[in-house]
Amino acid sequence: MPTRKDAERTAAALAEPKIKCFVCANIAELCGEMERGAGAAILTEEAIDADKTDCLGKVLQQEPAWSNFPLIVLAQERRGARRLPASKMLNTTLVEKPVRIATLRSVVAASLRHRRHQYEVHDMLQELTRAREALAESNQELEHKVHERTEKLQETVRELEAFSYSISHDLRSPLRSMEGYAQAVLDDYGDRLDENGRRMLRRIASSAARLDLLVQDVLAYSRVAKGEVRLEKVSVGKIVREVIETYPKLREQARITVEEPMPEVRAHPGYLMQCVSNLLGNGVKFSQPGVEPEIRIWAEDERDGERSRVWFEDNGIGIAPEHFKEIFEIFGRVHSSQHYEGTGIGLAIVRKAVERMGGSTGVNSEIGKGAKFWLSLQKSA
Amino acid sequence: MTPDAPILLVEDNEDDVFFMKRAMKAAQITNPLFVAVDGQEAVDYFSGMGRFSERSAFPLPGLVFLDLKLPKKRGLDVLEWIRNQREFRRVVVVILTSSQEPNDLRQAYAIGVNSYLVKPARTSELEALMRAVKNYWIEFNVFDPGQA
Repeated sequence: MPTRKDAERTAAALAEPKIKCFVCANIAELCGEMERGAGAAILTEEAIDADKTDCLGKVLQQEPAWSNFPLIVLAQERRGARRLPASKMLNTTLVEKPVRIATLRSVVAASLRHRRHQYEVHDMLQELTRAREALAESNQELEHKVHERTEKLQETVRELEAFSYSISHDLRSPLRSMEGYAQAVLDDYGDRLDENGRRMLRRIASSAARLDLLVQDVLAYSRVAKGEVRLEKVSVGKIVREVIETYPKLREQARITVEEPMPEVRAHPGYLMQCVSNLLGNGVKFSQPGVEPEIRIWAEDERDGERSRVWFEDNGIGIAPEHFKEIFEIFGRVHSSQHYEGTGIGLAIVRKAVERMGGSTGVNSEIGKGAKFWLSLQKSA
Repeated sequence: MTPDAPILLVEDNEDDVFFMKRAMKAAQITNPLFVAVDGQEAVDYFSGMGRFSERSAFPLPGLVFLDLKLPKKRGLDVLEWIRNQREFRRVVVVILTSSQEPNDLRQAYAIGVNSYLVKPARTSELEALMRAVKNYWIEFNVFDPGQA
């Protein structure tokens, strides 16, 4: 400022509303203060005249995006401000002389407030950047973790596959041997044993055969549970007829009627076939003593019109309602295997297979009044 | 297939060899039976290598029972090897395994197996299987006369 006395006076006037003021002798000093963090600057017209404004221009140009330093120019006329360095962002308030101290106070206070807001924005920006960086970092970490877990999961699936492969090959082989040798002893040395000895050998053979059946069912269950399911348009009637033709024993042991029309559904043919053969097998197996098994198969639309429900109704021994849930669970069986041969996995396979095809299954029954099993599947357009 | 055409059984499990011999006897299959106890031996048998170098003692088989899980060379690899040899590619190969894995079935048929049989759990069923083999492959099936 040109006359130190004026400057001192201004500083004193501003000190009253607690604004800290430094008096600079020239623009270079001002630039120094700006770099040290001054909140605003008051320039007189004369100071701009008297000194070169290059360094002020440089300081203003180097301002970061968030910053727009407030300049207050005290001038006789408007042209005083024109001598300031050209900058689009120049944040200048022109206060015409003679300056009223109250005006100056409020202009300076407004400029400082403005500056404070700039700092606040700056802080928020910094925080935002930090948050963004932290987010990016945790995203990367997450992606890494997902990748790791996926690999681990794939490894587990591979191990499981190898496991079930090895079960189907290795676990069944000793069972065949047990049955085979028991049978061989019966055939070759049976006449040298008494009936009790022969009976025990037959028990060894049938136990081994039953365990083999169990292993096969567990494998069937795991195949249904883990395999990839691609659904396609499947004719239920065709699948039912195929099952009946594939297992001649079904036809021999039961009267099976299929009531047309049978629907076309979205299903996996192999899975559906497994379901149908398990349900028909049960219908034959759990028959009432002395009553010829009858199985009636028919279908109807579900209320939503989107699904079809296929019913398998038998005239067997029936199931008490409190067992409805249990029978669909793996190894869930109501009768001992001495009375009804089986592994207790058949209906678990049905449920799992139907679920994998996006459908549902259930049963209606009463003790002694037969059972009505149903499969509900998406209709095929 | 003539009743004197040899049958090659590729099977590493002694018990299964024992049961097969009994079941074949029960089914009255009288063809001479030779046994290779691993995948490599099966290949050696066909190529007349090692202990099978004497062709008159180990004549080329008309029918092969091939297990899938074998030491040294997998059953599917043996099958592929046989199918890749000009002179053996028409030999009737029947897979006889305990595996019903969809993958095994798919691959075996893709390589060109003639039949795929699953080892049954019961002696009576194995005998029934061998009777079926005798009827179909030994009695009824008509072979390519150019086949070894």
